[in-house]
Amino acid sequence: MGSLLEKLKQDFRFDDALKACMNCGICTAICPAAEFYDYDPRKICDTVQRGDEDEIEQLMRSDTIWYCGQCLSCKTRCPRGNVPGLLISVLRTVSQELGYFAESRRGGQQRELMRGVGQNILDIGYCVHPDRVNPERHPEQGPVWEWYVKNIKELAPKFGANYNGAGPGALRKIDDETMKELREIFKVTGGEKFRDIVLK
Amino acid sequence: MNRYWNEYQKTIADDHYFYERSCIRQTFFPGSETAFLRILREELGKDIFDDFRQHTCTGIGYHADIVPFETTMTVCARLFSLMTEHGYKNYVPSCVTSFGVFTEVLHTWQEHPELLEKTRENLYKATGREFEIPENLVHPSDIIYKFREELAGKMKYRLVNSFTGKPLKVVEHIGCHYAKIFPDKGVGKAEFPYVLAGMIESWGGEVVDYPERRHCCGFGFRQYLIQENRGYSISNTKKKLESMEPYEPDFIVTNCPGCTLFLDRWQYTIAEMEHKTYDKDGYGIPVLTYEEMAGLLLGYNPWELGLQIHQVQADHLLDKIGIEYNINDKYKGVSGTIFRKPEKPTILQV
Repeated sequence: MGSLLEKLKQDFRFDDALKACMNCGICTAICPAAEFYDYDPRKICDTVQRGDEDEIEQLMRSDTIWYCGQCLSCKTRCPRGNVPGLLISVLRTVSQELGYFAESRRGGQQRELMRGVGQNILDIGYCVHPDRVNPERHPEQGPVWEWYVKNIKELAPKFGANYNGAGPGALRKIDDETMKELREIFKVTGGEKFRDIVLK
Repeated sequence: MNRYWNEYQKTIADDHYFYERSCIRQTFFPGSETAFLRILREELGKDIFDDFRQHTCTGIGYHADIVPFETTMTVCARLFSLMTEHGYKNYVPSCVTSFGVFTEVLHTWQEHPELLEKTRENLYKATGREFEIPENLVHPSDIIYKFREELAGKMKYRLVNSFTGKPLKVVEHIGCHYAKIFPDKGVGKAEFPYVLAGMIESWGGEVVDYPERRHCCGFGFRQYLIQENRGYSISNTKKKLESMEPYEPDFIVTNCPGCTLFLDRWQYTIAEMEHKTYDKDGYGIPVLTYEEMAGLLLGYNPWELGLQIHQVQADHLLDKIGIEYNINDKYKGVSGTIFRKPEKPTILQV
């Protein structure tokens, strides 16, 4: 393997993500994650830009890169056209490919995401679906959600949905041929391999 | 039109759209997608196609960093192939996250033509399919915005307080991925977002301008999807709610289904945790999708739009606008079964 910086640069998104950072800190000023966590996107841009291999490796093994919420407010405001949120995506991808993610508590959550949203996509063709948002695990959804899920067979059609039915419409069951093609896309494009690496 | 404002407009096709459904909107607000299709077909006489073979764009998975971008590009390409197969050129994804993903995919192909070719190869190898790039990519709200005056002429109600005659005060939230990633793809760009504000003004309401108007709703992808991280999500929503509270908005209207969800559900959670609501009477601030707002004003049945499956109930808002409704329909299923009402929250009034 070449240097970590070279590996990051192999991701074509890197060129859009980090051109030249002047450390002004506007990204940090507008960042919702920086308000909530001990998190500073300016420092991340600086660390990658300086190219210190040890620091980049330390960053990719840490919780830090997992605090971003991907709102991409930083994209609009950077006076140099950098996208710190996109740089985070590149760092997260490489961190997972190299197995570094599993060494931090926040990074390790990727396995839970893969077993949740990742599995939903491959099982049913949706990222999110009422059958997969269990009220017991989502108390924040409130009593209305519990009520809706309990009575969904009667309520969804009232809203015009085709809940788990054949043919078009909201919440339709996605047909077998479509699911087969979707899974094949994951196989051909590396999505399946990436899943295996994360769940290893 | 002011020539400067003209620079902040975008091209929105007139007719013949291919509709792509949203995972979150279908899950939590399915009546909104039904209302959008009805508005286009029945009110505006437009042609819009809803293919049963569509699927997720992977957007939530991509932004949660569990789906590689090469996979996402090819999944999007399959959706474009359905559009191509049916002879459509105007692509309309029902979700702001999807809209952002498709915009990023098209931008990538423009900047890196070799990745477009690679995606074509990948799709053909996986499915035998081919595709054309859409001529026009718009969010459904762009279409409603474009025809807002025509729709205003068909509306039964206006965004006016029927008791006082004053315009309703409306908070609008366009969602980060509508115009923050690629500002020139949104009506009004990132600086003067007007897609929802235009609807509100044309339909009689008054837009509330408050300090945290452009702050994120708090979704944060992995920051909500992982239970342990949800403090991030609720804290950011709380920041917005606290900022808008002094302006006493009558309701919030949202562009993105995720934002609708979090601005609605976190009001309930904050009430449970801190005994705090953001209106005077303890009912919370109702949060509507733009399809629900349009549908209500057009006289659609609020209980078929699905207002009863929001945690913050909108009955008082309906009364304020003067909307006629049958309360007995609210908890009735499609076969006529009347269900027991949902449990009442401890603090939030319903």
